[in-house]
Amino acid sequence: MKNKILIKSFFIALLLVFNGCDNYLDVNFDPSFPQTAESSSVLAPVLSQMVRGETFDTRYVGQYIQNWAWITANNVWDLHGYIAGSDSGGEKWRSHYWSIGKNIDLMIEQSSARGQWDYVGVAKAIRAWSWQSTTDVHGELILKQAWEPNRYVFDFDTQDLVYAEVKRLCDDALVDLARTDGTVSEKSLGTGDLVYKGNRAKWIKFVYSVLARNAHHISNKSSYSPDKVIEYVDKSLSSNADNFNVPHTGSNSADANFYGPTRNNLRSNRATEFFVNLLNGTVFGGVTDPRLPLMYTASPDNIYRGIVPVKGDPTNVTNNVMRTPLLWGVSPAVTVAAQIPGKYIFTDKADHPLVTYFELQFMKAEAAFIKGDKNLAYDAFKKGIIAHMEFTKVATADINTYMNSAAVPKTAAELTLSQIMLQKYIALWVTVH
Amino acid sequence: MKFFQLIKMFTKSKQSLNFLLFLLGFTFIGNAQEVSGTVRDNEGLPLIGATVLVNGTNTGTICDYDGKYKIAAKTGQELVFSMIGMESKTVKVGASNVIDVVLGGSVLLEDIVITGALGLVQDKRKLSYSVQAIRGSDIKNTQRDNAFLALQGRIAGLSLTPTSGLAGGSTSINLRGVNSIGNSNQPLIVMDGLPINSGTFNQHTLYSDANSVNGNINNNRDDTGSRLAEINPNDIESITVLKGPEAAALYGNEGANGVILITTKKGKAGKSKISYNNRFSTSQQYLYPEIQTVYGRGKNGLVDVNDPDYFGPKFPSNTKLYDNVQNFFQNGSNTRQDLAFEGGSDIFTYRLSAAYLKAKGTIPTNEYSQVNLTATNEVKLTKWLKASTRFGITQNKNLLPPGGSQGYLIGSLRYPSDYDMRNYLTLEGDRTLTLPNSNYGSDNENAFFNVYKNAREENTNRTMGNVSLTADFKPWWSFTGRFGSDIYTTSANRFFHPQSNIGFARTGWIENYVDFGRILNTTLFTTLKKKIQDISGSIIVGTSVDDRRNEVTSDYGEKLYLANFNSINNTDPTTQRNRTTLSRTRLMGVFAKAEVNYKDWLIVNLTGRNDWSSTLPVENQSYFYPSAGLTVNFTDIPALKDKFGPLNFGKLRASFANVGNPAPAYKIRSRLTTQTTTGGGFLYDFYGDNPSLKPESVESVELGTELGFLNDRIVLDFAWYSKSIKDQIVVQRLSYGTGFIFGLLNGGDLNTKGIDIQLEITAVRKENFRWKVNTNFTKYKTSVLSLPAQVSEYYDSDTWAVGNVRASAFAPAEVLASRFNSPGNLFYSELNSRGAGSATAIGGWSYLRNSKGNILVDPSTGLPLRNANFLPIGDRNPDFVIGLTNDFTIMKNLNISFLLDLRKGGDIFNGNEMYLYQIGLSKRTLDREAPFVFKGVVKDGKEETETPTINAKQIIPNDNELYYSVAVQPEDFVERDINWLRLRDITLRYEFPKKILGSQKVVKDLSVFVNGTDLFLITNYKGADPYVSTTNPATGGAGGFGMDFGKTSLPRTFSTGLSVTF
Repeated sequence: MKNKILIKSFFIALLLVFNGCDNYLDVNFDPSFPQTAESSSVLAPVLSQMVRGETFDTRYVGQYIQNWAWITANNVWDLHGYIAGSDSGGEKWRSHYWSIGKNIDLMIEQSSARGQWDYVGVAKAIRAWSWQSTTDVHGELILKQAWEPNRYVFDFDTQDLVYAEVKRLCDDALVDLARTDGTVSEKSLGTGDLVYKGNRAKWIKFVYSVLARNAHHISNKSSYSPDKVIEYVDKSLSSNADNFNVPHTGSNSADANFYGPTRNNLRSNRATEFFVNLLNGTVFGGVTDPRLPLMYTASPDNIYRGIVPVKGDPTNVTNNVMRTPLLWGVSPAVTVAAQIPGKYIFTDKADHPLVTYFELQFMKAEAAFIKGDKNLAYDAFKKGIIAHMEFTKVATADINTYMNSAAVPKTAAELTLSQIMLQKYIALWVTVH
Repeated sequence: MKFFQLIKMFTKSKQSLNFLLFLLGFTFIGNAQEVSGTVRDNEGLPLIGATVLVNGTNTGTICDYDGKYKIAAKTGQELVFSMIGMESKTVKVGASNVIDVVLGGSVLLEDIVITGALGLVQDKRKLSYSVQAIRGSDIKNTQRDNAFLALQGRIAGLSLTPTSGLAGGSTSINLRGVNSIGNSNQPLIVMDGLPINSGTFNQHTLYSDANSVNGNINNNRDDTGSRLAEINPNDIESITVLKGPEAAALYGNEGANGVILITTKKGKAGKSKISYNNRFSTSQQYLYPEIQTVYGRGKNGLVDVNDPDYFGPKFPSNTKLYDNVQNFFQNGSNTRQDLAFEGGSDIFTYRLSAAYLKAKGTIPTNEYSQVNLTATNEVKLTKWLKASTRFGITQNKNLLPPGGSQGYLIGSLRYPSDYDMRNYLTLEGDRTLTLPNSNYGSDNENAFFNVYKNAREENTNRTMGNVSLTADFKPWWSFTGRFGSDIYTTSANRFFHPQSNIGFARTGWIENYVDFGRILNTTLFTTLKKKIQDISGSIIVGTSVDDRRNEVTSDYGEKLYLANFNSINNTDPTTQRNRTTLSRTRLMGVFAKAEVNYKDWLIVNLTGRNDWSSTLPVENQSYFYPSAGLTVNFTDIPALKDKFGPLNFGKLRASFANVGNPAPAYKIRSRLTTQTTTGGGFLYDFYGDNPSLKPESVESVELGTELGFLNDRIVLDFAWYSKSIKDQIVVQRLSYGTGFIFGLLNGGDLNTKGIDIQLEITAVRKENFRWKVNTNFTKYKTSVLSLPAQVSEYYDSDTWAVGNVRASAFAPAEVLASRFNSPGNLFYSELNSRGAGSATAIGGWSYLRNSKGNILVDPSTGLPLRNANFLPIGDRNPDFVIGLTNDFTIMKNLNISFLLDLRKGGDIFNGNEMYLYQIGLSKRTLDREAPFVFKGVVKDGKEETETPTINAKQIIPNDNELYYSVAVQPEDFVERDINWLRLRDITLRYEFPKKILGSQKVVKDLSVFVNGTDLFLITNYKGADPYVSTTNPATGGAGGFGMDFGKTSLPRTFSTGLSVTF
C-alpha cells in the first residue's frame, strides 16, 4: 500500500513539473534586441543607409567618371575594372536589399496598423528612390522575387520592369502622403525624419524628383517624354532649401560623413586634372570659377593641380611644393584626422545631399534642350549654376561676375548640350548623378 | 575501526543498503566465525572496495583501504571475491582462516567506474554502445592544467585541438567527426549527472566586434579562456566518454555530439586523510616560423622609405641584425598546489579540496592563475534515503596577449631585423617607429609594445553546486533526483594604447565587458527492476528540465585623454557606447529506458526521449527520438562457454539512435540591432528569420565488438559507426535578394563514417616489472552529401583569418564540377577534388587554369592569373590518428608512462608562411634575384586550343614584387599529407616504499615525479607546430584546426613535484 502511494505521488510530482510547460517555454523573444520597432526609430537609420549605399560606391564611380583618381598608377578602378573576389562596389546593392530593404516593409506594416500614412508614404518614397538609384548603378535587378521567403536562388528582371515599379511606388507614395487622416502629423513624422523634419510637402517634392529621374534617365529611349520630365521637375524641389540633405553628427566614425576626414576614405584619391580644368578656365574661356577655391585647394605653390587617371600622382613626395593636396584641403603629410577641418562637403559634419534642386534644374535644362525649347533650357541652366554656386557659398557678387563672364553663354541660342552637361558635372561632383 | 561499524550497522537491518551494495543486490546477515585476508590485483595493489560474499548466502563485506577484509564463514563454504571490471574468483574456506586473493581482470577497466547514461554506474560488459573511461589519476599524472588536454590520444574517436599554446588558453573537443557544419560540435560535458558550462567566450557579442572596430577579434585572434580549463584535475575520479548518439540519446539536447561524463572524487568512510600535491614547471617555445634576414624593406629591390614590406635591397653586410623572435619569447613557469581532506563515518562522508595554480606563459605578460575550492558531502538521511552535495568555487585571472594578424607572433616575425624590438619606447616614452614617414597605424607592429601597452584581462568567478537525492524505497525500486547550477561571471577589460597599431585610428580604445552564464538543471528519474527466472529487466522513467541564460554587456569608449591610463573614464564621453546580449533557452524532456537481460549474455536496450525546446516554433517545439541496442556476450552463452580457446571474453554489440538537436535562441524572428549612425535607431540585423525551423536530426548506427584474450592480457574494442546528419540548422550566407546577409535554414546532409579501435596489451605482468601498451586508433571522415540552399560552399568567416583562405564545407565534386565549368571559372579536378564533398575542407583562391589544367599566365606581366572563386584546395581531415601509451612499473615503486601521438595524413594550411611570403619575409623568397619563367600557358585567346602559347616571359621577382604579393596563390601554401609524431607527455613517478616510510604514522604515502609535456615533434610540416586552431571554440562547425596562423602551439614543459598523503 505504502508503495502505491509513493508511486502515485511520484507521478503526480512529474505531472506538476509539466504543468505550465507552455508558459515556461515561452522565452524565445530577444530581450536585448527588439524583433519589431516603430517606424520613427527605423526611419532615421534608413536615411543614413541611403547615404551609405551611395557614398561607399561613389568612391569607385567617381574614379570611373574621373571626379578623382588614385594616387598610384594603374589602379583597377581608374582602369574601369573591379577587384575580383571583393564586394567593393557592391554597397548600393547591399543597401537596397538589406540595410534599407525589409526595414521599409517593417515601416509600412507598423505604420499602416497605426494610421501613420505619412510614414507609409515616406517608406514607399524611399523604396522608389532606392529602386531607381540602384538600377541606375546596376542595371538589371532582382525585382519580382526580391525578399521572397524560402527562396535562395533569384532571377534578374529587366530595367523596364524596375522603372515601372518606381512609377507605381511613387504614385502610391503620393496618395499616402496626401492623406491627413489617421495619426498623420508633422510632429510624429518629425521624430524620425532627420531630413525634412516631418514636412510632408517636401516629401511630395522628393517623390516628384524620383519621378523626374525615372522619366529623364531614359532620355535616349524612344519613349522619352521631355514634357513629363519638365512637369515632374516643376513639381519637385523648388530651391536648395528643399534639397534632400541627410545630416551627420560627425562625433565619430559611425556618424561622420563618409567623405569627412574622420572616415579617412579619400586619402588615396586626388581630384582629376579634368575637374580642375573645368574650374580654372582651361575649358570655360579662361574664366576662373569662383567655386574653385571653395571646392578644392591649391598645392603649396598656389597652383591648382589635378592628376591624370591611371598615371598616379607624381607630385606625391614629402615637402614637394607641387604636391597635390587631399580633397580635405590639406597636404597628404597631415595624417591625424583631428587636424583636418575638411573642405566643401568633405567634412565630418557635412549634410550629404542625395537629391538637389540644381540637379533637377540641369535635368530640366537637358529635357527642354532635347525638346527644342532653348529658352526654357537656358533659364533652367542658369538656375542650376546659380543654385550650385549658392550651395557652395559663393558670394553673390562673384556669382554675378561669373554669370556675366565668357564661361556662360550670353543667349539661349548659344547654349549647347555640352555646356549643360559640364556644368551639371561640376555641380554633381561628389554626389554623382 | 569505523569501517566495521558501518558493516555492523548493515548487519542489523536487512533494509539498510548502501548504493553500491544495492546495485550488487546483496543484503547482509550476521555470523560468528571469522575469516580474514587481503585482496590484491595483479600488480599487488590492494583492491579497495572489492566485495566478498559467502556463496549461496546473503553474507558479505567490502575490503578496506588496505584491501583487507574480515568475514564470518564456515569451513567448506565458498567465498566469492569480486570487483567491478574484474574477473570474480571463488575460494573454498579450508583449515586456514586467512585467505589472500589476487583478482585478475579486465585490463580495460581495472578500477575505473564506467558511468553510463544518467550518470549511473554501468557494467561495461552489458553496454551496447561504445564508451571509454580514463582514471582521474591518469589525467592528473599528465600534469596538464586543462584536464581535457590529457584526453587526446587516450580516447579513440576523440579529437582535441588547442587554440594556441597560451597559458589559460582554450581547447576544442570533437567526438567522431563533424555533426554540424555551423553549430557547436562540442560534446555535452556532464559533471556528477548534471550538465555544466563548457564554452568559450563568443567575441561576436561585444560592441567592438558588432561595430567592426579595428582590432575586433572575430574569435580568430585572441585565445580567451575556456570554462573547461576551470575543472580541477585533482577533483576528477574518472572521465567516461560516451562517443556516439546511442549512448547520449537520453541526454537529448547536445547529446548528439557525444557526452563526456566527469565523476568527481567523493570522501570515503574511514580514517581522515590529508593529501597534498605540488608541481613546479618551466616551459619554453622552441618551434617558430622562419624568416629571411637577407633583404630589408623597400619596393621592387629598391629602398622605399614608405614601404613596410621586405622587397628592398640586401642589408649592408655590416648591419647589426637582431633575432627579434627569440628575444621576444620567454621561459614560462608554472606552479600548482593541491590540498585535499577527506574522511567520514558510516552516515556522513566529506571531501574538501583546494587548488592553486599560477602559470606564466612563454609570451611576455601572458599569465593565468586559478583558485579552486570544492566541498563534497554524502549523507545518509534515513535507512533508505541518501543525499549528496557538491559545491565548488573557481576564481581565475587570465592575462592574454592578442594573437592573429595583429598579434604577438606576426608582430615579432614582421618586425625589421635591423631594429632591436626590445627598444620599443623612445626616450620620451613614445613608441619607436621604424619608417620615416609612417605613423603608429602604418609602421610595423612592435610585439613588445603590443603586449606591454595593450592589455586584455579576464577575471572569472564560477560557482558550481549540485544536490542529489537517492531513495531506495525497495530493492526493486529507487528514485534519484538531481538539482544543479553552474553560474559564472567573467569581468574583462581590453585596452588599446593610442600608439599601438590597433588603437591608433581611434586614439586608443577601451572595452569592458561582463559575461554571465548560468545553467540550471533538474533531473528526476525512477528505476524499477524485476527478475523472472533467467530474465531480468529494468525500466527507468524520468524527466529533465534545463534552463540556460547567457548575458554579455560591453562598454566601449575611444579617444583616450591619458595614453596609459586604463579606465573607461579616460575615454571621450561622446564616444562611449555599449551593447548587451541576452540569450535564454529552456528545454524540458521526458525519457524512458527499458533493459531486458537474459542470463547476462543477451541484453536488449530501448530508450526514448521527447523534448520540448523553447527555441523552436510552437508547432515544432516537441520532438521525439529513440534508440535501441543489442549486446551478445557470446563467450557467456552456456552452450559455447570455454570453446573459444585463448578468447576469454567476447561481445558483439549493435545500436541505433536518432537524436534531435534544437536551434539557437531567437532565430524564428529576425532581430533589429542598434544603429550608431546619425540619429540612432534600429534596423534589421544580418540574420534572416525562419518561422518554420525544425530540430536537427542525427541518425547513427554503431556495430562493435569487445574481445579479451589470454585472460584479458589482450583486450580489443572495435567500433564501426555511420552517422547521417539531416536538417542541419545552418547560418548560410545567401543572396542579398533574401533581404538579409545570412539566412537560417534547415538543410544539408552529412554522413560520417569511422572506426575506433582500442587495443590494450599487458605485455609483461611480472611481480617486479609490468609493461602495458595501450593503443587508441581514430579514423573518421565526414562527407558532405549536400549543402543547404544548394550552395557550393559553407564557411564561417571567423576562419577567414589570413588571405583568401578559410575553413569550408564543400558540396561533392560532381556538383562543383557542374557549377564551375566555364573557362576562367573552372573546377580543376586534380586540385579541387581534394576537399570537395568534405566538411573539413580548406577553401581558397587558386591559379586560373585552362581545361587541361595548365596555369594561365598574363601575357603582359608574365605573372600567373588567379581564380578568385573559393574552391576546395585541401582537406584537413587526417587519415588516422593513433595514441600510444606505454606504461612501465618497475619494482612496484617506479612508474614510467608516456603517450606518443601519431597522425597520418590530412592537409594543413600554412598561413604564417603565406603571410611571410607575401611581404617578402619567407625564406622561400630568397631566390628573388634569379630570373625565371612561370610555368604555364599564356592567356592570349589560344589557351583552350590544341596549341596554346607556352609562357616564355621571364620575370625577376626582385624587380617585380607583385609576384609575391599578388600573383602567388594560396593553393601553394596548403601542405599536403602532413604526418606527425609527438611525445605528448611522459611521467616518471617514484613511490617511496612503506619500508622507507618506516613505522611513523604521519606520512602514509609519498611519491615524487618528473614530467614533460610536448617534448618533441617529428613532422613533414614545413612551418612550426601546426597543432593550433585559427579560431577559438566559440566558432561552431568543424572549427579551425589545420589552419596555422598567428599563434604558437603548446610549449615544451618540464615539471617536477611531489604527492604526499597524511
